[in-house]
Amino acid sequence: MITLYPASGRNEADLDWLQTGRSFSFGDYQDENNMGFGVLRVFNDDFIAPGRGFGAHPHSDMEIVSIVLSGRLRHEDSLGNEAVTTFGGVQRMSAGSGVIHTEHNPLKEETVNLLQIWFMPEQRGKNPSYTTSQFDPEQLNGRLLPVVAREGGEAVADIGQDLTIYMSRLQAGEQLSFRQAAGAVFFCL
Amino acid sequence: MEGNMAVQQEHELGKRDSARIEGHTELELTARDDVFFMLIDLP
Repeated sequence: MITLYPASGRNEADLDWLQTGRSFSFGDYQDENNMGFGVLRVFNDDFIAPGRGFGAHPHSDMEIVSIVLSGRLRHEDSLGNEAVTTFGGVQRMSAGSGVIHTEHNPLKEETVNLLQIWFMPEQRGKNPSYTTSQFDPEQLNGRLLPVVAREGGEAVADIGQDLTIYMSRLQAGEQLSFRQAAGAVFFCL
Repeated sequence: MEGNMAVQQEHELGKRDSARIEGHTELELTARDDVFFMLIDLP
């Protein structure tokens, strides 16, 4: 079964410093019939104004991936991690038994656009952890490039769930086939 | 994310559209114009 969700059906919110398009229930948008898709719980398309961001807040038992599409994103957490990512950079935070973090746009003039993607973990209560990885944007062309996967790898962030996030660029008329043994696929443009 | 593409030649998606897919072991993805997209393979 293939069910399409047009962009116009996303929940859009404008908080002045944050414009976000939410594919699933999140924050003040709650729809009991749209709480996720399998282990995928949150998919937010966020635009954070220059110099603004999410202040310190806690998470637990969630696998959280942030992928920057443009601009810069600065992360700090209670584990002592600090990182700034740009396009090609991927952040993965396994919240596990608990972690506090902040995410800010450190730039003075440019908005940062990022995808915030949350997954239910395979195991609850694990020690929290954080990692970043960097893929080569040139490698997106004409193929499905894994950027997050359970086992991780070179330029692939690991994650505590049996899933793979692929990104790709195709030219007009190009085709790709994707095969899987079972399970589900979330697909977005 | 950007562009327009088709899944299985019949399901058309544009910028910021999404699809939730179950029960397909093979997907055919066709770019209608230059596209940048994400696919998440879930258990």
